[in-house]
Amino acid sequence: MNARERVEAALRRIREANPKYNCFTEVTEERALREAAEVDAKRARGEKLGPLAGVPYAVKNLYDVEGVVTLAGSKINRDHPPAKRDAFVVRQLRSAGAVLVGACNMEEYAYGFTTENFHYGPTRNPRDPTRTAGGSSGGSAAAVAADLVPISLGSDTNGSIRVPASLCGIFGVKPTFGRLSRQGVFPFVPSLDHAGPFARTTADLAACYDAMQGPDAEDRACRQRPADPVSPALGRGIDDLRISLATGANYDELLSAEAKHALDSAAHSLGVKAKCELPEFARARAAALLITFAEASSLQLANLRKRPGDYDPATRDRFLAGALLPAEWMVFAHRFRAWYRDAWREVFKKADVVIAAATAFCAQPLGQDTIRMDGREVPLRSAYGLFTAPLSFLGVPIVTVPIRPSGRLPLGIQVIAAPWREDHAFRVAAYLERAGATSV
Amino acid sequence: MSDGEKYVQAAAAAVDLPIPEQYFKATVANFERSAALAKQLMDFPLPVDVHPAPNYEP
Repeated sequence: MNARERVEAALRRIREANPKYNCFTEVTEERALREAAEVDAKRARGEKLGPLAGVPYAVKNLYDVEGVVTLAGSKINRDHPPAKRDAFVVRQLRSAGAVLVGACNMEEYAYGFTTENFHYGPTRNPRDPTRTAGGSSGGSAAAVAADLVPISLGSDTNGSIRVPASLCGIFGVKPTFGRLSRQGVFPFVPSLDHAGPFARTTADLAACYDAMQGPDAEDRACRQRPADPVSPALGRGIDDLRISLATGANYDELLSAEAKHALDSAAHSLGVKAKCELPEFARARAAALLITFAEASSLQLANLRKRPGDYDPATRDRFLAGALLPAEWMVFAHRFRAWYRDAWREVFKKADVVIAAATAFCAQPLGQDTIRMDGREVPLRSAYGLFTAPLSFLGVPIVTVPIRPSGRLPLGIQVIAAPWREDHAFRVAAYLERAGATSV
Repeated sequence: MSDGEKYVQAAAAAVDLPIPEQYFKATVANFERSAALAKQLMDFPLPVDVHPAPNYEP
């Protein structure tokens, strides 16, 4: 199949399935056909093709796409001019030969875990369209889970790649903070924002992640390091890796039967019995959320003053409250982040990889407000991120792996590695895939 | 007026952020949720030599 045929097939699938799942807010058909033609022309000339030549992909609609308005899930951003150039990682993927077919639905300004967007409608989970696809990168995850595209890009501040990957039953990676450039990615919480891809296989996930890498001085948080590809490491096995299962307060007691099954199944496949204590999991989440509230609101302050009625009702009141937090809470939260990093350095002296559930439970029905956890009824939207927010706050690389479920609905685990050791997390994910422990 | 309501009203005035009446109650509820998280965090005995790690580079 040449690039044009492959891309036309993806566009056809999108036309057929998007009304059912609401993954896309923009389909870039003209650009896709042009990029596919460029790949085919290169092939015809006998030129060397990139590793993603002719592979169709989609991006969360907070990535800049030249000529397209970067919505970031909002009504307010519709008033922005179209982006003048592609985001850095979109340029990287284009250089690798990938073909952009569109931009995907998300929570307004990436602020939430369910993609029940007031302005653009809810994205539905391809495993069960009555349920959430997760969020905030719900459209990107659902587009991959529904087989509309083999890879897509999301972003993760407190879990927005890992939560939808878990609920949709696909792979996703949140790399080390500072690994991938966020230039041209509409900011939510710059202290915590990460870019990253989704895929249905570890090979595709690794190929996309590898192509996205590279130093970029325009994102001041992006470390100026050369690309460190993980694809060559996928088949290396796990014999030399010390793997532990996470345990601790504010984690163990919140795991559902489905989450316990996923962890048991992964531990069995990996032959893991060792456990490691999660340090200060609840306080890390509290600090992550306080930084999120204040920093996100600061970026929105001008519009909160001028046009509060144009926000999604699910985000507006959080933005308003976040603009009012005392400075002392922020300073303390940032100081706690430094303490937490040091605490995890001790964990990584004893383990190369730590396994934890990505979500405490499977996807719940759209519109549901609360869920029962540890004998209490708690707000559902924030509960999806209970196990992810402390770890993006930490900034370490994590691959979400869809473990073969005990029931009908998927649930993922987090494969957590030390900073800059994405290769360790990918090797464990690939091992689980080869062992038949995953299901996509 | 509750302490949370008084704080939201005063802080909103201090940062010049008008809060329309129809959003006031939910804003207070969100602030109180943040305050509960802060209480949980601020209990931690953080040593004075632990500093934030900003990426500011002059």
